[in-house]
Amino acid sequence: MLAKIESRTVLGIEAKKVEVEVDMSGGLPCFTIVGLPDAAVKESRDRVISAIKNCGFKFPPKKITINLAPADLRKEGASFDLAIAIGILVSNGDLEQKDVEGKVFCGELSLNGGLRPINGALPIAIGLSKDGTDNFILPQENAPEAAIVKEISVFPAKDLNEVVNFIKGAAKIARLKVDFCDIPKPSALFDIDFSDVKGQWHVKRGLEVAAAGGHNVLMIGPPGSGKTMLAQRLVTILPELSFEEMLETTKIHSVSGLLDSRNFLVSRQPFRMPHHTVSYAGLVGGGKVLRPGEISLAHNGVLFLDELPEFHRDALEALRQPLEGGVITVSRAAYNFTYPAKFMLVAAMNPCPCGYFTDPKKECHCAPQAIQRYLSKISGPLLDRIDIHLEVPSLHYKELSNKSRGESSFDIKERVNRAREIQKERFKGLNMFCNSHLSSKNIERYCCIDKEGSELLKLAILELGLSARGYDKVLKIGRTIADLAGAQTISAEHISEAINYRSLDRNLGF
Amino acid sequence: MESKKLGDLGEKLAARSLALKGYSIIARNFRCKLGEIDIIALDKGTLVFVEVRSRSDEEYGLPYETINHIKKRRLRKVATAFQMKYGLLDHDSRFDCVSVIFDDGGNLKDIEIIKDAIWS
Repeated sequence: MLAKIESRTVLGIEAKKVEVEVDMSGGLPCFTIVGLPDAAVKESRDRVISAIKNCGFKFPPKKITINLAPADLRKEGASFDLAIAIGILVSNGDLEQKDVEGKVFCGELSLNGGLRPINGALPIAIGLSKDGTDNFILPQENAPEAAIVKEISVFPAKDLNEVVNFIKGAAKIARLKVDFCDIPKPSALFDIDFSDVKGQWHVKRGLEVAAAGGHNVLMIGPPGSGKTMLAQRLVTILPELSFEEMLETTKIHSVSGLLDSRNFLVSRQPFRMPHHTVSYAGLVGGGKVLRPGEISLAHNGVLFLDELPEFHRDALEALRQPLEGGVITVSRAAYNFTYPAKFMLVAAMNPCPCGYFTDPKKECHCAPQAIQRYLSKISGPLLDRIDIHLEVPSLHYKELSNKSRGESSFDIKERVNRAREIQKERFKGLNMFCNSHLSSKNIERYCCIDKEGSELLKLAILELGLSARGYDKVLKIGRTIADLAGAQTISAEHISEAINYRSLDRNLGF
Repeated sequence: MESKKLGDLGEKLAARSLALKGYSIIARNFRCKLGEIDIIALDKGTLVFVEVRSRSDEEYGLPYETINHIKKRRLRKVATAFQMKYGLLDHDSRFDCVSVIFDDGGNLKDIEIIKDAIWS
């Protein structure tokens, strides 16, 4: 008899419908799976046979053919196990075809019939709500993330027997509902705070400006000056994610298998800190089996690249397009997918190979050429996309021993939020929401500068050797600083602070 | 005991034991140019191809462990040949294995029917 079970697979971050057709006929017993299965799908044969037997059903010695339709779509992973097992049971007469209509099954089986978690439950659930299919049966570990989608009924199951009894109507599975009041407030989730960092007022302020305008940041300083610590605390002052942003980010994390039944929603900005040995495919996505890269995992959050010049050149250059567009399209012979990748880049580096070039106390032993070579590892186009350059000096004893704590993240965040509100209002109806997205055409329109400010800027260009690119950047940063201060026009004081954040343009010390 | 004799005796004992279990024997030692099947029987309407494996106790390992993938492949081929000859290609079929163990004196020590022994 022929059985038809509905399942889903994930392509990129979108769900794709897969029909599992099971045909059983007489003849020598054999079990074949067709429809471009990969090794994990082919192996599901042995898992399904054992699971069915161990759940107390008879496995029929028949000629079984399983087709995963559409046949031209490559099938990956073990998530079809449950659908295949249910299909065999329907085909064998243990279950009725009409009872499985309108239900979608996903799950990996273990040999004893237990259900193991799958990747991509959230994208599948979102896909189902668009299709208008209502019932989604899946492993209980994945159920909370799927239940975020309120339009569908999510039935969490722990093993094959439970699913069979549910289909027969012999037992009920309670529909899982997620109460969003249970999700802790993002601000309560952080155990780090800006007040942990001693001194470094200048850098903290710089990061505040960066957070307010969504600007990318490069921190330059000797080892041990606190660059990493500061970068990690940046997420605590970023504006909270909207529900849509949470969903977008959770989708990517779901596909990558980074969620579990307790952390089923990415409710705060992700902070990704890949090691500098990361390959370009690991950074932007790709690989034989397609996976989202670090930049997509950092979507709506912060990507922190520590020791920037140590990264592979091709990995860094691959960042150019996503930094501009907010998406990354991975095209290979076999596939072509677009992942969202709207992130704030925070990079840290030493000023020279030994690290102590700008340190007042320790001597730097690097030859000038070595420093040049070190700095030139970061290409112009990449540097062009980083608005704010911050020098992080090493701390003096006085600052270290100082008992007074700095401003807390909460206070800084309030100011950042206010600045973002102003920007949102300003860019209403435009395809952007913060100052870092301003194009040079829009800069003229939105960055009104008063007379003193323009005088200062002129001076800066003449005296400090500020480039044309630097001019635009200073205006952009100035706009953000003015927003933080609640000012309409950019004044001299904002401009002078902004110039401070362009240390690489000023060629000071380099 | 000679191995040929041992094998023949094993098959005879296996056939008897299958009959006692309710199998009706259709053929013994079905041969074609692809190979041979020891016993072909019907069990509640299912066509059963039986491979008998005999071992004397001195030898190491269990009898059915000696069926390797080459033997399996050959059995499938011969079974298909049988089905084609009698137009039974769509008939429910399966492979069983009977393991017969003798002791040192040539007396039957243990006989076991393993249903559904071969899959592919």
